[in-house]
Amino acid sequence: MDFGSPRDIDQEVAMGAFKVIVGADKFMQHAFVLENHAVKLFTSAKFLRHMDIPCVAAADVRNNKFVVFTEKDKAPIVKYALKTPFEELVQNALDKNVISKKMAVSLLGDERISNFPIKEFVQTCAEYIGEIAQKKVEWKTTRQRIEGETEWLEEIR
Amino acid sequence: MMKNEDKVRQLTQKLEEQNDISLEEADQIYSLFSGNARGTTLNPHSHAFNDELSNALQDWYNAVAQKIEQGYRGNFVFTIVFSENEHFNKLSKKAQQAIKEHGNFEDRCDILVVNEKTYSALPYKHLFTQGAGDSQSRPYFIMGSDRAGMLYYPIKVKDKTYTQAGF
Repeated sequence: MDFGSPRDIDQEVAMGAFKVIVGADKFMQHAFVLENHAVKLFTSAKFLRHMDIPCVAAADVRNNKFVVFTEKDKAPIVKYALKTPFEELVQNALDKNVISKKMAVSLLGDERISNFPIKEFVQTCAEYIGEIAQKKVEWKTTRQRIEGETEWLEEIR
Repeated sequence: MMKNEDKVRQLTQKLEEQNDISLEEADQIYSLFSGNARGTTLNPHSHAFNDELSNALQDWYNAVAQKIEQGYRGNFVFTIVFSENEHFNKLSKKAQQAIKEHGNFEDRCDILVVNEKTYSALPYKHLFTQGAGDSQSRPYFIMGSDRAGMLYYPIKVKDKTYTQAGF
């Protein structure tokens, strides 16, 4: 999972996200001025933490490159999670009154937001992504199992 | 006993001819940048400053840069030091630049952070230190290095050899 960004990720933000992944999230207590990419980073980080996925976060700090390695069998769920559109997450948080409409617009417009309820937002997103990703993995497993069975073909005949 | 500058020159020649050096030789070069050298042999402001050694090291890193640009990888990468010391960085500047431009993430990774679950499975726990957190934090562990190639540096534990990347 590549956390690298076309723009430079602030080292402090990236290390903060690393700490979320590994469970040390005291920075969340502070009010941050955040931009869209930082919120996305924290959301992915919180998801990994929420699912308690074993991982190694690696950084090339001098070049602002950040990568997270996880176990092979956990890769599908992480991939599904990362594919969840950010717009969908923002809408879900808006529906649950975690953020205001003004904040949602700013977030999607990549504007800097002060006093953003980051802790509540990423927690809501992590739970949402977890549910969706779990359902997708279960659906895929069921589909593969059914496709592997030959009995239903006999029934059709 | 061979002088350090002569040994570095010998290794530069070996690198140019054989495209790599042994891991022990790479460690020998790295050890020249010890805390002691910071204040003496590699400190231009010190009476103990060894100009010959600095020149030999500069030539070494020029050769390292050339090999990286040519696409070679090997133990010689482990000699690249990213220091806060101005003189150390001046010596290895070309090699640092080469690894930045031609290297990949594995070459340049300098920090690893693992959670408790992963840490418990690590055979080389001694390389990690526990990160500072508050009472609400779960334990996490950090490993950092000022050397290039941290992810594929061989770590020997008892009779087995691991690499971070392999693990």
